[in-house]
Amino acid sequence: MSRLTLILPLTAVLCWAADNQQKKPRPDTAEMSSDVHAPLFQGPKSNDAGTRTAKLTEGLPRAARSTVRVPRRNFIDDFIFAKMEQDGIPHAPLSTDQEFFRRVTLDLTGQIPSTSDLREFLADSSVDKRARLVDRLIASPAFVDKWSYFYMDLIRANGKMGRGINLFHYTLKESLAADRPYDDFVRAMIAGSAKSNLVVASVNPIVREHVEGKPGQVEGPDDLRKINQIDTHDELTILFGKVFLGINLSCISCHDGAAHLEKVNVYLSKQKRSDFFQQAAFLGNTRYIPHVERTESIMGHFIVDDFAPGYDTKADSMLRMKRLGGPSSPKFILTDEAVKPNVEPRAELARMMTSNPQFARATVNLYWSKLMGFGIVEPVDEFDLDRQDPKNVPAGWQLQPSHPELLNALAASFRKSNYSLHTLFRTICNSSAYQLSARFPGEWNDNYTKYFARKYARMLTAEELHDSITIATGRPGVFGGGRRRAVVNDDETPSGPPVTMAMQSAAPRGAGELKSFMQAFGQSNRGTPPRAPQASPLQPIMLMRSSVVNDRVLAAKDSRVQRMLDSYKDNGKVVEELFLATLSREPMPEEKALAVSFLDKNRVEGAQNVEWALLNLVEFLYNF
Amino acid sequence: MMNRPKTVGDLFPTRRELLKYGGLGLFGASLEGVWPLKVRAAEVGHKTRPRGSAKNVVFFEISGAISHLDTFDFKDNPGTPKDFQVRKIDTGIYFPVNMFPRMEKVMNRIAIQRSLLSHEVVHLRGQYYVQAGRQLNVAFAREIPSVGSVVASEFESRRRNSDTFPSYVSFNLETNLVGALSTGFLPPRFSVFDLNAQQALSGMSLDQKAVELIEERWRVLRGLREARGSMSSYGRDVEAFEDFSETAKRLLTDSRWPTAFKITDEDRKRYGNTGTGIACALARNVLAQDAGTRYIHICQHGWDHHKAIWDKSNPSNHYKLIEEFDPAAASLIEDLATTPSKTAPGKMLLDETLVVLMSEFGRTPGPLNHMAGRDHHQFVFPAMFAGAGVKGGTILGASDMDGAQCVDTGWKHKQQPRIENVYATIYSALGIDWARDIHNLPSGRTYTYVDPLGANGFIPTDELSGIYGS
Repeated sequence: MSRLTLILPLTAVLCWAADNQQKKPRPDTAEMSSDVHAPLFQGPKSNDAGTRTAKLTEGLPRAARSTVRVPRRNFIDDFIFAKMEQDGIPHAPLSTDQEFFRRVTLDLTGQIPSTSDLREFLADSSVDKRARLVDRLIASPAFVDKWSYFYMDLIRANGKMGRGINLFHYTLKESLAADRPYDDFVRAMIAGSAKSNLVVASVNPIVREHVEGKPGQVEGPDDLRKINQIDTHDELTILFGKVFLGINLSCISCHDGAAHLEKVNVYLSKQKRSDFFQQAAFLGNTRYIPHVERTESIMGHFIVDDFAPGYDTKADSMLRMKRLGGPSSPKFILTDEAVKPNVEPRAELARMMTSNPQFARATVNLYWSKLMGFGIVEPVDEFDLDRQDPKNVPAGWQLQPSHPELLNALAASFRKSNYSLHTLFRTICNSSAYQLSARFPGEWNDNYTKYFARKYARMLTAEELHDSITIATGRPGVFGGGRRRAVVNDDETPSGPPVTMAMQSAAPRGAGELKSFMQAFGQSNRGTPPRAPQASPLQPIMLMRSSVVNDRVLAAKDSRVQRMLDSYKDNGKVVEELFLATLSREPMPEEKALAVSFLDKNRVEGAQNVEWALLNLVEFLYNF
Repeated sequence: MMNRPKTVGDLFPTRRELLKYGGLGLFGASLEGVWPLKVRAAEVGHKTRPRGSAKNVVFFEISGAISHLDTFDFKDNPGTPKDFQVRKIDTGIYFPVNMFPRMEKVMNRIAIQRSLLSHEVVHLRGQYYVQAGRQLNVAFAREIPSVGSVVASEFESRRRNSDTFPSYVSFNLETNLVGALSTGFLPPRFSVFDLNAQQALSGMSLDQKAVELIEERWRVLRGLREARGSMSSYGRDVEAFEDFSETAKRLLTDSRWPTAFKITDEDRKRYGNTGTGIACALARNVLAQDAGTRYIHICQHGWDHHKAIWDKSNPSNHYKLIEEFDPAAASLIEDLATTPSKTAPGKMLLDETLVVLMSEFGRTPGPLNHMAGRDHHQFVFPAMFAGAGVKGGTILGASDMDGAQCVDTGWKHKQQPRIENVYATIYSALGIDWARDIHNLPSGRTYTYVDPLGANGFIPTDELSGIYGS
């Protein structure tokens, strides 16, 4: 669906932007795919009428107003491009087919595309090929692998779940593959109870957050103090707030917001620790009880039930400042709603959380940030709820979302689709805003950033990098050390194909050299506080020296280099295939000539060195 | 006041500066375009008087917590192993000399502050404290850099054009519970260069053939880059990474780097052919090359013996770890003391390197626990210092006869010193003003190098000047 970009009077554009996401049917048109040869700039717009809200564009040169016309495919484009037009922000052109194919494949599946798929896509002349590509990628197993791994990172699934991690991973993948309504999945995670987390998948995120009690205090196998129950309630409250609502409750878990958060978060600066207690009190009846095998408690095998007497606001803490008492009846922090009588508080929490608008907003913002480079609200887990309404911004502060109406529209659309993640991905990936090129012609101004005026180049994650190297070189990874296989039977024998791709694992794996490589590129160990993926001086060294790269560029063990050398006598063809397989594009004439010259000198070494160089190019390491 | 990012400020270097640093100017994968940071240092006059006696720091983290009362703050007690031979050594303390035959020889170079108090009893938080110099606060942990990264940022202006080594290097940091901390609000170029000591030996030492291969491959890489042309239209980060990889190549082919990763058989014997031994030997080598590394963090993990601490049949026990520690740490100190400095004629490396050895807390005194081990003990534990003007043999502070409580704080305050004071000492030795504030962090908060508000109230932020004999 798209429409021709019409030349509208500026006032009409403003009305259109303010007009909340009308779902008018959009006529199909032939002007679908990007035209590589279209002029980058079409000159200043003929209409220059009306006032503009210029607060974000003070100091920008007037000439920067010209933009390339792109088709508006859905409501996302309406908001994004209208705002840019309104404020005179130039944007990148649409991506070419080649750019788009590699990018969306990486974004949706974490893998670079295969050469044959690429050729097929480029040869396809149908108008809806991009939309069909998006559909195909979302339906692929790699999509499920990547976004399950992402979610496992998000909830920091690790050994604290014990063997339940595999079960949870499996259920997560199933749910994602079937596009289970996300609110349903979340309610299961919040309200699930179990005699064993090895049997009931959904309680594993709860089990992961258990806080062990003080050693030496426990008197016997049935002593609940093996786990600090109240601390665990607190940790879960923070986790739920962060992942499901995008709000950071950890500050007020220790102290009132006042006198601490005035420069940080207006909403939270008004909350008190007692508000946190009452939010955590929804878990007050919950118990986390480790199973005992022989005489040892197994901190990974838990009973999760709801027979505790309530949240004790004077309980000792292993992790936090002393609790000095306060109200302990459950009260939902966003709405002050209390628990209905005779209803389980945790089930109520699940209902209240997932039916609150903030749930949809936080979720769409999270996935938007992964696909578009950063969130409409950044950071994605630091929403300031008092700065969301454009008509009501506290003095001295700025509105937090860069596109408040768009965020609302995305959330509404998500709810309407029955919390379908597939639909969310589709909506974002089909927009022209997502499909803009990463190449920005002309001078970039940092002020343009919040407009999403281009695709933001991002470094591949450690797992994406590893898996892409695997595909490019045709040499699978070895994730040994522990369960090698994807499936573990009841009798603990492994079966199924070996795990060769990093994103197929339930937990970050790899030993020795592979582990160092993955860690250098930011693999999360899911134990410590989450850290943003970051460049480090070690990374280019790893790419140059690590056996993860150097072994696989060799013409040996049926690697791509070996197969290309064996299949093609012509060095030019070999070079072409290596480029296509690694960078997902044809070499340019100068590149090809140069690469061929190295093969002409020494065929095998030349090919190995060319492949090594391709893997070391920044073009390989980044998604554009 | 809202701290919405403005234009990229002081922290974005010019291209020339990037290459001088070593081109390590990458701004990270995601947010730098959105959160460029204009950092503002406190305009307050200096309240501290940094000593400036050191150019380098080696921080040896005895991770998991060594039992202080059985080692460096020896106290005879029901749990003391029968095979200990305890003697009063030259410096006046009792020491189990048969356990530490090599360390015994260098104890006269070491000053011990025995009176530290730990804020933490939990490993992850304690080990975080050791790297970050402040308490873990998950609310904004992602903003907080490790101390080594702060030092790297402070030392950036002192890097010479010839410096190719990263300023901050660590060995085996991934073995502890927090791993290597990020650079937080600081740009990624101050990131730690964390190496697994044993793998680094094979990965980083290049023989002639390997160097030639890199040179050949670099020709291919550079040629392809030139053929493709500039990546500038994709954004600054992308361009910066290419400089980055240029520096990596210069580092790998700088003959000093592979040399730093060669150790002799003699080294292996003296330091011990263990992860820790090799890490210490490499630390010596890296400092000896004098190619830009200023802060080295070595982590020996595994001391957390809640059970079977002195049981040789247990796969991991204190005996084993001490066997690994003793030759490694002692050889490092000995070699630093006998390797001449490249910049200060007549001086040895140890004269300009502050060596710090400490755990995150101590272990429970008295008889062993019900699993024949010792548990965590925060109330008193020691930190050891050597080099950079430290007066060897100085013994400061004291614990009671069990090693349980502090009876002498060992400095002018009534409060016991804490890890913050160890960091004040480190900053002071390096000539860095540790009262410095950095404002306008992305969250709006302020970062103080050594924060007077410790975990449990205000603490003095003085350095431990007693270690210098004053």
